[in-house]
Amino acid sequence: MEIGYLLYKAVIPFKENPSVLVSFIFLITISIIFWYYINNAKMGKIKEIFIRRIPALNSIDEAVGRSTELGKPILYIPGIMDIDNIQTLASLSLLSYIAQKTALYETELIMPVSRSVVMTVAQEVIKESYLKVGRSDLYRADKIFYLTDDQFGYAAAVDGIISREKPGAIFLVGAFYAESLILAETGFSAGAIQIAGTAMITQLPFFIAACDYVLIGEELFAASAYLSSDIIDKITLKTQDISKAIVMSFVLFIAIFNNLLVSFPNLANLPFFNIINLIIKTFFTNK
Amino acid sequence: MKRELPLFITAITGILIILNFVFPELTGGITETLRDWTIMIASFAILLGILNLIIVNLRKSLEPITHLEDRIFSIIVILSLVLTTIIGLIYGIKSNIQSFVVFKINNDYIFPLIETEFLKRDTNIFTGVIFNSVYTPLNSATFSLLAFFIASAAYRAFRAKNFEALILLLSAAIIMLGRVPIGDYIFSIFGIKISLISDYIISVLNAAAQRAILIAIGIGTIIISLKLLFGVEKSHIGKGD
Repeated sequence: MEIGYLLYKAVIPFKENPSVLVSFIFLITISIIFWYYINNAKMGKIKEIFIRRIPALNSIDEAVGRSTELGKPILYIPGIMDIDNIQTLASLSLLSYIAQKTALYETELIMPVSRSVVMTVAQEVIKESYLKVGRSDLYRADKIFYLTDDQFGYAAAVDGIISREKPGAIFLVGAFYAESLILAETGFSAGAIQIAGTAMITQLPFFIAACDYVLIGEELFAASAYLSSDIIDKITLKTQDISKAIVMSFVLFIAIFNNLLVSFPNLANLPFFNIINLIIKTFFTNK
Repeated sequence: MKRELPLFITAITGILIILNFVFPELTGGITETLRDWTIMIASFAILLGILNLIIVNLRKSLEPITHLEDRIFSIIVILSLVLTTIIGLIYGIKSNIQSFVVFKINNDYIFPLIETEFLKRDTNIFTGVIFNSVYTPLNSATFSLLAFFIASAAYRAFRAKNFEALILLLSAAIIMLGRVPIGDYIFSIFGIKISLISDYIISVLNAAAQRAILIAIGIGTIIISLKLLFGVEKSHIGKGD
């Protein structure tokens, strides 16, 4: 009775919106692939994987090096969203790598933030990075500071910092809205080498127009794995690529199938086409 | 333990939220409860931010090595913070100060604008002077910079330096001409309806590319989430490996 009632409760959302079931199955599939590769990497079965070069990530060392040569600081902007945003988390992963580089080159790293929780986490990340390369003496907590939660207030304050400090390199990595171009254009006018990265599709054109290198969409999420020397980190890229291949296959199959049905309407009478059409309409249409 | 406990809490919370998405009837309002907790924690965290703001700016304004303009700005920040807090505590804030008009494009909140209605209604010193006469114009001024920056960025982006830039320039020209009546009028001489080409670029070529990026972003988000759930991603709590 109890189990039957629980099963009934569990099935309700799938009856109302069958596409939830597809999402759930897809998530389980990715989780299994993810776990499989991580396990293999941990057991030493996978030692190295091929990774496509991403120019924006290769240019990080160049940007840090250039700032060091010029004796100018590096400015890191993690977007305007809070720590619960996945882009901010991805940005903090990248920050870890950049902070290690700045510590090695003894270059000043300035990080104004618009969320107090991000500030606290960023201070911890940078501190750990400096410690990792044995330069904890260079760490200064007051270089990672809170400005304001207000979107344009933050943009104005960062613009002021760019104009006064004239950084050699600026990293704009995270979630940005309308302030993206205000920041990027001020950075351009200050003559800084700019590396941007965001998954905000509306802001990508602005960054592409105003910055030297851009991490487009998913490249931002792949950044920390790409830069890591740990195979367990790197192997996650493989899961990402396999997931993309699965989705692409589905899209391609459904596109061909629908085109066939439109071009040859008589095919809909065949049982195979009928069943596939029913599955697509039931599970791949958001209600 | 310093790292294991946050990773454990992250994993449990993440799994609960996924289960709530798939089986809402079984897990009840767990997501709402967690969201309430987040709001409460974030409210406490704002104190951290304010404290940091005061310390950093006090230090800047007192340090002899700081530039004069830096000192002036720091003093203005501290004064504004103290003044706004005192006036806010004395006069209070009307509830409709929270109302905003937000443009929503492609599920993204783009340009928050302050609703004009409450500007007329509120008359106390807080909303009347500090908010309406100082904050709003300054906000609008910063926002308006965007118009000039778009022009300068577009000028650089549309220079036909290579083949890709040439395609970008041509697409931009076609879309701009397709959006205005004179575009169709000019191209009618050649028997071309440029607004149709413009629509095709936007609704087919552009939409296809945008969807490809969006799907990849979605998958990237899932992978990052799995990395957090499985404890592979630790940099946000200090990796320390």
